[in-house]
Amino acid sequence: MSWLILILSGALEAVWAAALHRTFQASGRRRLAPALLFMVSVLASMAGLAIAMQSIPTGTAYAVWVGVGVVLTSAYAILTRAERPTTARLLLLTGIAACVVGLKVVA
Amino acid sequence: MGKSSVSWLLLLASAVLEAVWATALGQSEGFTRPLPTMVFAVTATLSMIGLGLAIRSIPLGTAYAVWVGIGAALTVGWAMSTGVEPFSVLKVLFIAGIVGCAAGLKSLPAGSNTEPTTDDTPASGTVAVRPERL
Repeated sequence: MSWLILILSGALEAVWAAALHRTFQASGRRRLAPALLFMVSVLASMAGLAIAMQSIPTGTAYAVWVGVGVVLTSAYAILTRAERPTTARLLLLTGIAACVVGLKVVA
Repeated sequence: MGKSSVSWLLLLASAVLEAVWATALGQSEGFTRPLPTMVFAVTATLSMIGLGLAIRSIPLGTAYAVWVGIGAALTVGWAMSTGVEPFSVLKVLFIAGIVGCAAGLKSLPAGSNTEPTTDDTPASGTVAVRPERL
């Protein structure tokens, strides 16, 4: 159950990052919907991480949460053409994700 | 160019705050302790605002990865330098890897549709699409 909450929280990371992106791109009233989505998803994501951390070791929980978040956020950015998926960018993104996971697993 | 530098500074500042809230979240024990919970709420809010401002000119995936990576590197680096966590060569290597990858991402052309750049030609055949790497 904790693991399911953790993975869902990681997925919500990508949701809030995307909503944050839209909030700062839109103007006036059109900001309202993405801003609300951002608030709800970021709170749910943090709460889920906090709940998962009570039964999964902090380092492991954080690593999984971050890994899912980075992969899904990049996938969203690439699918919506907000970001070009060049080989160099994908390698560097993978590098960051791998190092964060490694760091937390070693710790 | 100046706008981009400001965005990267904002992003780094947000990453520092991310390390603060991540530490506070760990100490809040499920939001049951008031002080860490308050520190978490304030720093998390500021960190998100900074990230939001930064992604107006830095591509989303890149900004998010740098934000998270620098935050994690600082959290562990700080814990090691204060003696909370034992020193380890592997950890230092991973931290160096994160910083190196973040610096590499900064050196790439923006590639964002939100900001018109001279080299932003969507139909360009030079863009290598390698979705299998995801």
